[in-house]
Amino acid sequence: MTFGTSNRTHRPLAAVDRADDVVVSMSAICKHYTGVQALSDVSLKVKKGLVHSLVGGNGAGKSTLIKIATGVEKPDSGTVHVAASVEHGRGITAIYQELTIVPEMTALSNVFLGAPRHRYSLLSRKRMLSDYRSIGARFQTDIDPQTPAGSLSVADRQLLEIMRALVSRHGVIVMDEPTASLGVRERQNLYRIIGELKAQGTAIVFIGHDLDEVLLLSDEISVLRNGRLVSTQPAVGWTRDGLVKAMLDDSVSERSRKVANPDRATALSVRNLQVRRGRPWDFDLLRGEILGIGGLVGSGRTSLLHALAGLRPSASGTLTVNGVQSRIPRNVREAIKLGIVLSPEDRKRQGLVLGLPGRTNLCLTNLKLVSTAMFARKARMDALADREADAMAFARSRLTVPAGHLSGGNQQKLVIGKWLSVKPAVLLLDEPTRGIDVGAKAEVYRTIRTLCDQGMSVIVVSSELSELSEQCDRVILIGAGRQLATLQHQDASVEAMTELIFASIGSTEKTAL
Amino acid sequence: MTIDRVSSTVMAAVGAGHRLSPRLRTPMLHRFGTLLACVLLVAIVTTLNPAFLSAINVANMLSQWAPAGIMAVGMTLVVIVGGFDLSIASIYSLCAVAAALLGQHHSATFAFAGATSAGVLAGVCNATLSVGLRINPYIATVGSGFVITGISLVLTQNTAIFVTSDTFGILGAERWHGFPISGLLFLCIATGSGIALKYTIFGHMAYAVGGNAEASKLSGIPINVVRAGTYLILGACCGIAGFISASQLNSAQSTVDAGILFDVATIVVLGGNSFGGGVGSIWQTMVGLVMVATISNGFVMLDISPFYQSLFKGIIIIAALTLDSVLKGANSGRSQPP
Repeated sequence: MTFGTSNRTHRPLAAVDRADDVVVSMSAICKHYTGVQALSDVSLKVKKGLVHSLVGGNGAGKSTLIKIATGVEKPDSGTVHVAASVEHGRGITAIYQELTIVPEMTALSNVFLGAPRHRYSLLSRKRMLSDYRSIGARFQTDIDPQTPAGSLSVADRQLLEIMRALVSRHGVIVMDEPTASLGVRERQNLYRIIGELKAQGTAIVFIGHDLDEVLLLSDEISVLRNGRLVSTQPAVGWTRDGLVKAMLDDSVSERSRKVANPDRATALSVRNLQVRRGRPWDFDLLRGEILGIGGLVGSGRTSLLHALAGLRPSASGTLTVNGVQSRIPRNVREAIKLGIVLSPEDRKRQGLVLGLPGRTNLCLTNLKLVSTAMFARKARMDALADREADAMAFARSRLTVPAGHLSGGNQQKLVIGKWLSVKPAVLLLDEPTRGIDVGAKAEVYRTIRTLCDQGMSVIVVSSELSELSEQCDRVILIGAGRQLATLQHQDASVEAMTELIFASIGSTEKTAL
Repeated sequence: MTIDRVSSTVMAAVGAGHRLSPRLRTPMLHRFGTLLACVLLVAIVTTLNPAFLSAINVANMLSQWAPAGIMAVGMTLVVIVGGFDLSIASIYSLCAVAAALLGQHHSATFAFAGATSAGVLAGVCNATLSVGLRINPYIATVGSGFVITGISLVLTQNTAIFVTSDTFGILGAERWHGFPISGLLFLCIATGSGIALKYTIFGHMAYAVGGNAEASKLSGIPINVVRAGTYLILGACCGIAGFISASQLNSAQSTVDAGILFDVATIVVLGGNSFGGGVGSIWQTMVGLVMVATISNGFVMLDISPFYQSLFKGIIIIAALTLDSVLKGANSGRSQPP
């Protein structure tokens, strides 16, 4: 695990790349999850006293990379070297995107969660309080140390998380979108503290979506795309446009599909739909159309679909489905009656009963249809399952296999297929191709297109802009709590969408400043 | 010597899943594993004392185990949906007391209906707590069990209630062509529930809710109705079992048989029904029942000290739960995408 001093004799001392400055060195890291190559052959060096930023779109591999750096995940191949100086100290710490605050504990206990101060082996409240106050002062914040962390705002909790990383005096601090929920003043304080940490020799790995912020803070920037490292260069060598270009796929995507006839009836119109905070939703969905919704993770895409599918009874607004106006459905059965059905984000947890065969899973949505009186008829269940399997290009022979044993692509076909018997007007797809391979992806979209040609309408939420760009007739982009733009198929290039999404982040930052 | 032999055979049979490749460790093997253990157990006891399988002994066992069997059928439904009920012994006693109290002055049919209704009412309470108010079913039913036992105590002032009516004892004691009527009732309930689970909409929904409640809800299945329904059915089963017990003894008291909870739990678990929900069937419960009845009766038939019975029952429960956990472990633990 030692790295550094031994190398010095073999290498000339270069100003930029001095070996003993490297505190974390990752080489040729590969990581594979079921169906996805999350990282392939990524090498990265993090240096003492510098801010190294990672940028890339959703699913580029940034989060996986830091999980490997901090030892949360093991790489399939490749090595992680941590310099002796760091290892003998307190190692690497990370501020994760998902907050790791214990809501029942006080703010004070949360900050000292991993590294409680003690005297004679007993917790020293006095020392913790004085340390807490001095760090709080650096942030110019006065969160009461006695408050249960659960009652604090998201921004305050984020601050606690950052404070926790600071009190433990690590040699390397990884920050995964630390500023996402912070206000302007807290951000400025964080920038200042990052500067102080650098001066003390702490290395910082910074992940951010706000490219202006990244350019402002970083000494080095690495761009990731689809699990590969595109390039690592000093921050002065990058421009905003350069970063956006590097984040995008340079292969020209196939976008030759002809757009369907535009003068079609409206299948669904959503008016004034208020899900949580943020501006209400207003949009129309045409019959036979595939409408994409693009935006960063956490921009409210999933909660919109949930509201339409009857999972957010507190949402307000009106829907008009095929000319019939109604309120927002209060439960799944109301949504089914309206003709709106959801293929949820998490196939295994929300989509399928994994222990039951595909056949049964396909019939669960409409057991009445296959039953006489109270009895579900085997022959009719088989016939229904066969019909749905055929429509989804799912091999009939695999219908008897428990759903948990199927591949991601086949599972996705079941999750969509189970709705066909209720003849939905609107099919909502949340990340329909996450973790499934290219071939299955194409097949899923081919069957969806066939269903659309038969009059069904589809709303797709996807983190993959290339998918939205290729498959959707129209794309609505969302960000910063509002609808940013609606693009027709011909305008919805990955480049244009990336520009719009990242511009929105920059713009809120600027207006806030 | 005999105990050792029986014990090691059961352990070997129950533990058969251990050494097989993960691919073969399916619920199917799980089921046949317990069936194999059951057949071996019966074979051993019969070999040592052929009278075990005599018509008289089988009829006696059927009659003796009818209450526990009926409750185990109800419990199987609850467990398949992913719930549990620790108050069944209390409900059973309350229903026996209700049957005896009503039987003193009214017809046996009226007492039967009253006992069953009392059971359903207790089921409604448990459903309200664990489904409506979302209290953990283990905790909720411990609490409701105390309350129900308390009601029985207040009703009886902790004395036995005797029934002198002629008709009251028919269900418990009479036989039809040698078959105990209580045993026949039990077999009818078991068959009916088995058919309901396998062939009705309710049955399909029960497996789906137990297997994945979230996915079931998103498929439009009324998961709370299904969950509550199983508690009501279990309540009714406890009511019928309570009546049979009162009818067999021509009396009832506030604590008829506190140990019946453990008998029922053992029967359900031994059959291979998983407490995780989504897996199980009535015929597996029947296998469990045969095993438990064989162990209890076998000790008597083989003239072995009853002191060993508890020890042996305990070992079998632990072995079955270990097997359940090992088989469950084989199906999870794959790495998931983030």
